[in-house]
Formats: sequence, C-alpha cells, structure tokens
Amino acid sequence: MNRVALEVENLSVEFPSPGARGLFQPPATFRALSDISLSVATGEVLGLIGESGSGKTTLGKAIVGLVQTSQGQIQVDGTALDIQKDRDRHELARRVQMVFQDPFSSLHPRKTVGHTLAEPFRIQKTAGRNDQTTKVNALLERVGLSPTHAARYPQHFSGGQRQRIAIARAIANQPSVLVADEPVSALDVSVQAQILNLLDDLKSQENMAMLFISHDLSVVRHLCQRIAVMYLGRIVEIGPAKELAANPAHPYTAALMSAVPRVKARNKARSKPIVLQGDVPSHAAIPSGCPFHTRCWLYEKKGCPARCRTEVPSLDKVDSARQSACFYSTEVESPDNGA
Amino acid sequence: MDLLNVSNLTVSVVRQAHSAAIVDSLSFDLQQGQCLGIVGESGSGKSTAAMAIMGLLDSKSLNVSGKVIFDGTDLARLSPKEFRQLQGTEIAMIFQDPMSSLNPVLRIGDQIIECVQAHRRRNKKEAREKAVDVLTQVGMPDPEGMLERYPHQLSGGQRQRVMIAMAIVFEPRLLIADEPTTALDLTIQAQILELLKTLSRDLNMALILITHDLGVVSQMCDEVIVLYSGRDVERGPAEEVLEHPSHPYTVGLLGAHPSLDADDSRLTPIPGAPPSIWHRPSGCAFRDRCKHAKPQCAERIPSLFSTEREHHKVACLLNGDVSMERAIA
Repeated sequence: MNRVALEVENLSVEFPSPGARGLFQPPATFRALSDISLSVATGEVLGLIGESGSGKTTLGKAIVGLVQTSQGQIQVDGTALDIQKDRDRHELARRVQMVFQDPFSSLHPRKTVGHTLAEPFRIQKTAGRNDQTTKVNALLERVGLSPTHAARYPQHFSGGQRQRIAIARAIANQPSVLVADEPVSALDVSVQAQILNLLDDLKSQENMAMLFISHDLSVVRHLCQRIAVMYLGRIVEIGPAKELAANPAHPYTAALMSAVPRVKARNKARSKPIVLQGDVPSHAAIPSGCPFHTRCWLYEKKGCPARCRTEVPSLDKVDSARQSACFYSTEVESPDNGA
Repeated sequence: MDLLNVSNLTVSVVRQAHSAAIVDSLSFDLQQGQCLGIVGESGSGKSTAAMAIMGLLDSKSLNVSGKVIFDGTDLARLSPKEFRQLQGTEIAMIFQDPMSSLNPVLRIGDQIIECVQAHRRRNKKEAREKAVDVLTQVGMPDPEGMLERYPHQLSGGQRQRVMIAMAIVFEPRLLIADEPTTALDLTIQAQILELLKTLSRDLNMALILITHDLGVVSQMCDEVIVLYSGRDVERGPAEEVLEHPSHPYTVGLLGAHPSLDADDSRLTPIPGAPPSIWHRPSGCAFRDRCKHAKPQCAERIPSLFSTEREHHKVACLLNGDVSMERAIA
C-alpha cells in the first residue's frame, strides 16, 4: 500500500442555520457533516458520491480549507495544518489543490492563461521570473494544450480546454492531494472522456491522492479505486469501487446503483430499478435513528424495525475493505442479482 | 395515421447576410402513445427543434421552414389564436429547469388554476378541483396543501411534478419533455422517469424526450434520433441503434461514457469539440472529429440511408466500413 496522503478523522462541520432568531440569541446551527473519517493514499482516487445536500462538496471544501471545521482533524502528509495560521494556510495551498465544477467561472476572465498558470509559482516562490515561462509551457503540454495557448484569454477556449487549464493550475506545484469537485459535470459527453482520461494519467504520473466528487456513478466507478457514498452529511458506505457497485452493502447504495439509466446490455433483462419514495430530508429536520430510514426500501421490507428509528447505525466493517452504516447490511441485495 | 408528422423542419439564423441552420431538414413521424428520444450534445439543435414544433420560436430573428402536421392539421396554416388553443391542450411541453419555468411570486394553486382557466371556461372552484386532481395524478404528497405553497418551498423533484401536472391538465396527445431530469438528483430522476412512463401509458400520450443521456433513451424510448450539429446522423428503433450504432458519432458517444457494469477499460473520447454553427466543416459536419474520415467526406453532406436492418438509418458515407471495424474490435 502506498503512503497515506490525506487522513480525515471524525470531521464535523456546522453551519449557522438560516431563519429568524432573537437579537441576543446565539445563532442556531445545523450539521452539514457529521463524524467523517477517511483516508486516501498517494496514487489512489477516492470517489465521493451522493445527492445534492449530502455534504460531498462541503467535505471537499473543508479539506482544501475553504470552510471552517468545528470538530475533528485533517492531516495532509501526516501533519495537521491549521488554516487560521497564515503560514499553515500557505503550506496547505501548496499541498492541497482543488478543481471546480464550472470552468467558466473558475478562471480569471481578464488574465491570460499564462498569467493564471504562473500564479502558483509566484505565490509559492517555486520558480524564478526566468523559468516561469518554461514551467508554464511544460504545464500546458502536460494537460494536452500547447505553449501558444499561454497568451490567450479564457474566453478563447472551449469548456473542455478550460477544465484542462484549471487542472494545470491545480497541479502546478505537485500537490499531495487534489480535490476535484464535479470536474466533468459541466462538459458534454464527448469531451468528458478526454478530461477523465487526463485525470487518470495524472493520478499515476503525479503520484498524488485524489478525491473525486461526483454525482455520476458510472464516472466514479470508472475512475476511482474506492468509493464513499454520502447521505445527509454522513458516509453510509465506503469500499472498493468494483465490489461496492456490484454488491452494495447499504440499501441507499443499492438504490443509487439501480437508478442509473443504463444502455441495455444485449440479451440481458434488467430487474426493475429500486425507486425511492420522496425527497432527501432537509438538514434542519434530520430523521431520528438512521437518517435514511424514511426513504429506505429495506426498512419497509423488514416491517419497519424500531431499531432503525431510534438508533444511529455506525459505520461498521462488512469485510476487510468495506464498511457500511446499516444494521441489516448483510441483507442488501444487489440491484442486478436481486429478486 | 401518424399523430405528428414533421418534414424538412429547418430553423436558421441570419447574421450579416450569412445564414446558418441551427436545425437542418429534420423529418420524422410519431404515432400515438410512442416515445421518441432526440439525443445530442449542447448546440446540436435538439431544443430548438422542439421549440419549433411547439411554435415557440421568435419568427423575427429566426427563419423557420418545413412542415409540422399534427393529427392531420398543418400547424403553419393555423391562425395564432387557433395555434394557442392547441398549445397546452393537445401539445404540451416541460423544460429542464422547473424553477425558472414557474412564477416565483404566485402560489402553485394559482398557477395551475390559471392554466386551467386559460383554455376552458371554468369557475374557480372547478378549476381548483381540477388542480387537485392533476397533482394527485402526478403523485404529489398532500395535493390540497400544495396549492397554497410557493415554488421556492418545493424541492426540485416536486417542482418538476408541478410542471408535469400543468402539462397534463388537458390530457394532451403529445408531450415534449426537454431534458426533464437533467437538473435532478439520481433517485429523483428515477421517480420522474417512471412518472412520465406511467402517464404516457395511461393517457396514451406520445412523448418526445430530449436528452443527452443514452441510458435514459434506452430505458424510455421506442425510437431515437441522434442529432449532430443540427442534422440527424442516425435514427431507428432505440434498442437497435444502441446495440448496433452505425454512425461514428453514435459509436463515439457510446464509447465516451463509462458504463457502470463494464470493467476499467480506457475511455475513447471523441477528439475536439462540436463546431459552432458558423464554422461547420464542409460536407459531413463530423468529419474533422472522425477517425474514419476520407477525402470524399468533405465533398457533400451525406444523406440518410438504410442500413441492412429495417428502419435503421444512418447519414455516413462510410457506413459499411464503420460497422465492420466495430465488429472486428
């Protein structure tokens, strides 16, 4: 196993909840993330999936230091960095970088691409004025663009090319951890594949740990070695991508997998997808017990056991590599082999 | 008889004496109760085609030509008033983003009631009852209480249900759904797709589903048309097209998206990006991204011709070669 590059322990993030409060009352808060623990090794891609409001983006931002954590610890290369301290923040920016979803708003429209890409070198003082251009050119080539592109502005590029530029900026100083937040969601299918292949190459060449946040299960399944499934701010299942997709150990994972619209495989009848009832509950009213029990098909099938309503299931080992937060994880049938 | 018959539908935009087609001679038929998928990437003209059928395009800035015959009536011959009577009663449409299709300052109930009263003379009480009816039909929890709510109080899936409810008030015979689930989460997408399927069966309603997701097409549609740069490059029964894609673009689309079941083979992206309508290559619009392109591809725009299978048509000069290469690979 490679060296652990990112380690998150018991991380919680709280946000002030919107809504009225008295002038002298402390603001009420809600938990966007509760008790998240995970680790990613160098050269590994961990996929983070979940629906909107599941906290996947918040977790990404917490790791990059863009949101304040309220509990727990984040270690990069074995050291915990405190974003309140200027020096630590500077160090964090070198070791942890992020690629955002929308390449149309994440690049400065009035700076040339060359200027944007030279910025990480200037800030981290990793290149002198003279070799900046060489480094920028090398960077452009590494992401499949050409050095002549350096003089142009973001508006001259297509969505896929812009995302390449954003990736180039992120890997400029060889970070240990790259957080990619829905990097291909804004792109057309034919262009998506180009970026996915690029990320795939980079992960092995650059030897960095990658956290890949996405709502697209097939993309995550393709790119990642391990997957963590989030629901209402918690990890409900985590494990190797292949097994998790083929043989889910949490009813929510099973429902997600079966809800992916697939191109029918030849001569293969598919079982009916599990359609969950209702919407994801709001953070202000997280259900008691297992947060998923209000939409859980297994809960209904088992005749609504009281335990699911009263006890919060912890993330327990299913086998050596996999953990699931469900009391009945052994009874989850995979969507395809299921009845 | 066909429910809908579209022939040579062309929508073009004129700029400084140059004209470019957003949709270029699109033709298709649709039967009662059938589901047609129109697939393409952004800029392929799929939404514009739908808007043209619905009569929603601004005729001052765009040139629309071609024939749209709905149930034996040529829509171009209708007076604006007659056309308006048809829109929303016989043909209805839902859009991608339900938040921007609903009026944010009106209650859900008022919006549905307005929709009922716009077409039929009903008093408020009858219209309200109808509103509760349709909300029940689309599976909305607590339909009575929902009437009093504002759009911002609803989730994305609920908003899309409201849009569908408004669309089916008069049990239209054709529903055009433009990327109805793109803005929604996976589990909600599954709910909405199932709802559309049930409604189309119960009301014997034809469905035109515009999407970029071939998985959705496979799950929902009987027929499919693949659009690239304004032209249909491949069409036929959905299962047939997805199993034996014959146009390099369709083959490319299928190869570019990872599959949940397949193993970790490397993706084969389509190089480059779709051309803008002002800079299309001559001849086949796909040729400069196509690995099979030959010099003759630049000479003329290939027209649709049948493959060895019935009803499966493809617009590619090299059709035979492409499928052969696929068979070997």
